[in-house]
Amino acid sequence: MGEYLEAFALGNAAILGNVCMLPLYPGLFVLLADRVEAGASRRSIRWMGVLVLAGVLVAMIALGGIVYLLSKTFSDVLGVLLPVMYALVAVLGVLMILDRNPLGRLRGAQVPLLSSPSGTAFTYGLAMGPLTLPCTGPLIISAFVLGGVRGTGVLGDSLVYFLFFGLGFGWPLVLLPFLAAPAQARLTRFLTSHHRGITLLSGVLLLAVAFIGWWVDIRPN
Amino acid sequence: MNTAATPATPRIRGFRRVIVLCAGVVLFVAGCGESGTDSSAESTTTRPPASQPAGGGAEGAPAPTTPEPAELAAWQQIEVTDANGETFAIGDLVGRPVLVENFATWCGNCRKQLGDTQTAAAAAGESAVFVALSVETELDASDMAEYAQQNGFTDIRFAVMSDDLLGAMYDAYGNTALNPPSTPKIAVASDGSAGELVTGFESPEKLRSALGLS
Repeated sequence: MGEYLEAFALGNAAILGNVCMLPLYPGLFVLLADRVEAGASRRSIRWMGVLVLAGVLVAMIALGGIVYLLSKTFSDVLGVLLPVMYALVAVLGVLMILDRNPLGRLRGAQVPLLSSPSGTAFTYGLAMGPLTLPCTGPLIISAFVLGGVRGTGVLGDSLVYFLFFGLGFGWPLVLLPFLAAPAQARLTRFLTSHHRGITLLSGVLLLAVAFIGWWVDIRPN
Repeated sequence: MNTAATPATPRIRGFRRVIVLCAGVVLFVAGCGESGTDSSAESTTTRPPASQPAGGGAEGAPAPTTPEPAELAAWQQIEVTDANGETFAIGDLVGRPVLVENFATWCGNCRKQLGDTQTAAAAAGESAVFVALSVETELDASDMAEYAQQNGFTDIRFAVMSDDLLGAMYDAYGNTALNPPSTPKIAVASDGSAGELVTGFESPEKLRSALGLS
């Protein structure tokens, strides 16, 4: 257990030192605002951060497994994947600035997974998960390689370690909706009266995140 | 006894249990979050190497509190090929202090730490060896050489871990040794005895000090 706590603490330290989780916050805020305005239940709002983080962790483990099975490195994958992902973040930012919120439109989607608040949150985490790979990718790959040379017991240990590390740098995501839920009535009033300002700010933040991601992750590689 | 390599437990099963467990952990460790701009630098943690004498094996054998001088751990005896195509093991470098730093090419923290390591390596000259080991075992040597050259890490010896070395590192130091964003480093004394695993950013002066250089 000591090593898992250490992983959690190292994840905490990684929050400020890395940009990996930054792209998730403006989007979560927009999702949250959308659900609050739509009058979603307090319970479903509360768990949105957990579901986003669950989506992120599932995406990372799945991608790690695929990269390992293909005998590739994240260096092979990230050179293509990250520019595309950050371009999508930038496009999302521009759409928000133009007051065309694609995340809000998911509410009307006919796909059951996307039309429910929890499904949207999980899917959003899945979609944004690859952006966190520069921070967590090597750890995930190591887990699978270790599983190959030391057996499934070690694979399980390493994946649990990874989950604790992920929780260490993702817990603010979980906390945000928990803080928002009790203040739902006040938030609804605030969001309704400041709707345009909030989407504009979120768009600018997403553009800033895309730029930082390009500067920190893509440009040096 | 291997304190680092805790076997996977069936205790942690089910999403609900993980959430409950993590909520407890969040409350417990919440006070550990750093403040300031360079939080990782303050997050330095250490882990002593699990006792694993040469030859590996000996699982469950009693761990001596202080390793025999010059008794090389298994991970120090596993050969790797560096960016220039030369094969070596960390144990071959006995006679000079060695800093071993595990990294990944896309890791921003690693690049930042390697910058300071490069400064320390340039200042140390021939009096010490600085080795950077990629945890990405499939990484091509030429990609690694290009990475080192592009970043100006000219005084650090780069190599890619083999699967066996990855496993031996895990046996000796646990998962944290294979967690590049935490910038894991091990100082090996000139007699070959390996020190504790250190994480977090270290200045060139601290790195030199860890190797016993003035």
